[in-house]
Amino acid sequence: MTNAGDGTIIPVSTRFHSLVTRPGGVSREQAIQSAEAHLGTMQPQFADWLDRQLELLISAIPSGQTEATSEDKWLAAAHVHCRAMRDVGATMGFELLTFAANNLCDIIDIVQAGVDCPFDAIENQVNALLLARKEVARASLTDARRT
Amino acid sequence: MILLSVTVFEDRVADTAMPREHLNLHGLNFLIADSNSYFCMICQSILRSFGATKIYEARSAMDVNRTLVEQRIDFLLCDSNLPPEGGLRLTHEIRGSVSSEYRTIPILILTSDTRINTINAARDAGANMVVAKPVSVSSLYNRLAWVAFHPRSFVDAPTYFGPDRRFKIEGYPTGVGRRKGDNDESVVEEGGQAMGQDDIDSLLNLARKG
Repeated sequence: MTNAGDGTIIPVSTRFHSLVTRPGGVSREQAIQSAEAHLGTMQPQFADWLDRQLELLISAIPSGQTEATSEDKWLAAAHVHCRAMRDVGATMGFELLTFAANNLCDIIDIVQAGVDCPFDAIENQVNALLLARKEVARASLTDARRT
Repeated sequence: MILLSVTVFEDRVADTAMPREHLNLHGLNFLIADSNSYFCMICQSILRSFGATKIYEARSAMDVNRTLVEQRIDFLLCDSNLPPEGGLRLTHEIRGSVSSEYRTIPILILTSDTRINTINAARDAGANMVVAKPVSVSSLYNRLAWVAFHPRSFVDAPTYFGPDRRFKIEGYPTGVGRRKGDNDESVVEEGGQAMGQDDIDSLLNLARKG
């Protein structure tokens, strides 16, 4: 234990550090290959999950400014589904999905910060998400044919 | 000749930048804290492919606290937006809990907000490392390997408890780099027999022809 200015430096040994360096385990190449292969097998299930998220997102967004839905409420609901799609899209290999979802998240952020809701821009991003959905469907179909 | 030297140099850098060690995650207890159940499932799948066998999930900070009491967790992956008050707040609380056995647990913050302020906030809360969302398989592996093979001492100060924040990438193995104190790139020595210009030209011609 040493003193460094106002703080004390403490050497730390955790169970994680002592066990993770044991002999054996999985090499980097093996681990990455295996994880990517496993994510590939999850694609059909991912397509179903994405359908559900899109459905929930679209139903959360009011169809026009005339609807009396509380803005805070629908924005919060839309944000949940949008974030969920953004956070997994590129991991599953669909960059367009993450890109469009990220744009929509940014729009929701600025509306939540007080800017007037740009419904046209939201509609455009939802259309981009629907386009990304087609890409996911194509990929899972190709995957199913291959297996 | 210059072309070949640079290639060798880049290979050497790539070799040291990528952790090559094996990670042995068998028997270690991981906790993934994220309100998005599908994200947790993907993360679980990746960690299992890396060799992890015991993985728990939490959807909120309350779930995390409950799991930490009920299980012996070795590694926490925590979303920066974890309800109700965010993963950084939870990290700060874990590090600040003087009597807790989890005070020094490795914590990896997962965040889709990669602005420098957020990264600094995660560091100041006591996170070991930050991973950008959406995660890629290789980035998650690299961060885990970094935490595993580069353990840092903790600093206990009046305003901070957590891994020593004064760490940096030490540069290239031969000391070559862009910093003031680094060696000049020209110090890299040629290895092996030099190729003549004709040999290089014929190789390039072959490559162009496909």
